[in-house]
Amino acid sequence: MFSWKALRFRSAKDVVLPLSLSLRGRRKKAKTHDDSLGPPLRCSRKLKEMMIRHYYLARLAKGVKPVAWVTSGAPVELLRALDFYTVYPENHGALCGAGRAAQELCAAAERQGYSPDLCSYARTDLGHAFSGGTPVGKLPEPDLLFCSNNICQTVQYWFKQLAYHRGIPLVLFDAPFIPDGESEPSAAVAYMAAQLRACVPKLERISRREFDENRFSEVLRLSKESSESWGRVLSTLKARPAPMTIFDAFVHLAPIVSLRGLPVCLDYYHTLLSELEERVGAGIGGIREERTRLMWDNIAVWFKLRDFSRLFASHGCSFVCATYTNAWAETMHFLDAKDPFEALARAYGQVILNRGLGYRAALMERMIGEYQVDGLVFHSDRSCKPYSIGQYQLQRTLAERCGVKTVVIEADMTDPRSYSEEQTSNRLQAFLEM
Amino acid sequence: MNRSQYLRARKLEGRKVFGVFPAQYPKELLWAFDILPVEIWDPKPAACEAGRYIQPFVCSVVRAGLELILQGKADFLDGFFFPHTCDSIQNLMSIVQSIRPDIPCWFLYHPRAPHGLEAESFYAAQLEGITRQLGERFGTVSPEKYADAVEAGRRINSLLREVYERRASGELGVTNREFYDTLRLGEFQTADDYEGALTGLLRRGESLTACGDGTLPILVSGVLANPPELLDRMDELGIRIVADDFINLGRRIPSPKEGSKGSPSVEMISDYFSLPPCSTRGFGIEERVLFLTRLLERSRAEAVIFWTTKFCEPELFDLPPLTKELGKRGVRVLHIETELNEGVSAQVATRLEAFVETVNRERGAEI
Ligand code: SF4
Ligand code: SF4
Repeated sequence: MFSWKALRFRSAKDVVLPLSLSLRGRRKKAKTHDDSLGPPLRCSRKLKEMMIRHYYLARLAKGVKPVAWVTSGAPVELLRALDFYTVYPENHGALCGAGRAAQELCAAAERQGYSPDLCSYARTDLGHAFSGGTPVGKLPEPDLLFCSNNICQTVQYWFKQLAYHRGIPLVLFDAPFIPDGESEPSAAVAYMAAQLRACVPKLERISRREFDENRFSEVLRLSKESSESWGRVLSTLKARPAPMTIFDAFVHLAPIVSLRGLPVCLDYYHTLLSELEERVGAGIGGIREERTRLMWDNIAVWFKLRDFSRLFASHGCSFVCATYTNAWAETMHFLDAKDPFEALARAYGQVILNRGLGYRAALMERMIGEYQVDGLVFHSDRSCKPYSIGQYQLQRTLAERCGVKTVVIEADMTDPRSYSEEQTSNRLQAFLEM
Repeated sequence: MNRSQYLRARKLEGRKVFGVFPAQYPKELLWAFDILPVEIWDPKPAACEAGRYIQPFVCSVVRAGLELILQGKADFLDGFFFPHTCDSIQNLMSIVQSIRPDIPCWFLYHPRAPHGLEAESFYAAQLEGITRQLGERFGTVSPEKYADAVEAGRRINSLLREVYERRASGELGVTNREFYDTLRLGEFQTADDYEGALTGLLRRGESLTACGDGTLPILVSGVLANPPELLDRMDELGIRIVADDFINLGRRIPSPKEGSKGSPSVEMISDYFSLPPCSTRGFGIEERVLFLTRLLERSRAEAVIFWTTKFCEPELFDLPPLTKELGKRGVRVLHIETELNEGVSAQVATRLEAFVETVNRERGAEI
């Protein structure tokens, strides 16, 4: 059936956007580059265009495709098989943080009674819901909220607010936490797989589409291969010098979070990987002179990304790995299993934040060895309890087991009000002088 | 006899003692194994070493519990039980496992609402697993013993329902402080002793004069009634708590069951899934509003106080919509936030006072 909205969406996707992005590229002046950093990645432009395209098309998607707002750890593959256009409020929160728009949005949520002690991604998003403010123009109204608590319980508390305020359905994928010492979580896998099977008819009703098994298998293949490619991208940082830093990886993470299961995502990581391999071959590093190799724990401090990147580079410190970026490469090999629902359950149920701190310590110890890490920076993120509680203990354990130098900085991923420049500089200065 | 002496005496009788973190857990299953669960909600440890392990933005329930363990006050325990209540408790479990590897930990995941049939099967599988593990460590339990424990739980729940009904009807004229001091004995006493305490409270109510007139009947919602000084302040201001939606009390009382009985585990599962909606177990705003409005009607409370614990995310998220929905229904609402064991600040005291004055004035006007 003919529809103006669909026509507008198609023409924006196939004609208007490619044209305007190429013009934009030509017009754009090169940014000033910091001398302590390595040459910028060519791929960054492609990434920027992809994300502009994603958010631009999102505005036109309503009425053309079913729209879902999704948490970063939710098994989006089910939605892709039903042609949902997906928006990630956490990714939007990161954009708001990096663009220094989060503080105002958080304040808008606080004016509605939400406590400043709540996760700032949630406050940013709720602030957007109340004020409409966003640096990306406009987000499409969702038809569905799709949430998994495999990263934290907070996302469920948050998404149920959205369901209440917007009066739309919320589908939860409940992923039981796996404590240290628990081996094969078979009952949990059966529980998760059963939920995924049970939610298909609901998703079909909301999307008004039929679940297509072949498409589902194709999406799973794309997801798995994209995640593997992302894993290979990260592995190039084992080289000396590392061809980019983890601050670059925080930015290039966006497609695996937001576009997982789509061909563009896989295509993008193939391109990025070949550029990085080229840099490794030519001995080009993410920073000009790599003397010390560091690891980052927790989410990025989005509003300080550039400052931190320069500060560490000026001291010859290159961040070569992070638990956060690694999370999207860690468990997708489970997507191989015969039963696709069980495969999803295993892949999404066993992510780092859904496991005990003993598991995280062992993973970090392995990464410290593999990436030849000399020091560790823990971002104690006021917003994120599952990522932050226990870091002090991890700090002691890893310093003892691996003999690396460590520091904890207290901050927040998007809300600058929880960040003290003075305190952080003092701590980092002492760390860098160690 | 204080709590610690009480527990040591039970231990001398040959019972095992488990430290249990908030909130819901299969108490009856532990009783069946002769394990006395002692709940760790709000101990009052002197020093503060927990800062070496957790950040200042962690709630005081987790902080106080960890402190207790760090100070060696949990050394006599035979095990820990961690229900998966929230992200903070989840990570606390990992910390405890690493600092006290000598004390075994048990874990229970709460399937988050909405609960389909798969949630029931998963919960049942977990209970089976815990039963098996406890059996391997402490010896198996006869079906009769299990059934007795479940029956004791049922009797206690029905006494609790009676206590709340009598409180709502104004027959149980004890102070708020005494009311909660007695109800909270269930956090560490044996089933028999707690049954006795509740029966005693009901009897004591009979000997007191009714307390309806001149008091302000209030419904309180939150994590737990601490700091206790706030209860005293409420007593002074003529507030009578007639119903609560506390995670550690009202939200742990299942709906009454009628009809035929199943096996002990079937009974426990059915009780679990009939518990009132709780922020920590994923219930939606609508379900919580419905529950609170019914509780208001049943208890004839005239206002609601949300008494939250600082940094408690599950409760704080639900607060704005609950306040809004109750407001739409003409219910007066006050929110106060406290830290455990830190007394009542002047600001909280003043706000409480102002609230009581306003509500009483409006009540007067309505009459
Ligand atoms: S920042 Fe942490 S608490 Fe907030 S949504 Fe992400 S994982 Fe959850
Ligand atoms: S008070 Fe809230 S945050 Fe703290 S342990 Fe209880 S439920 Fe968790």
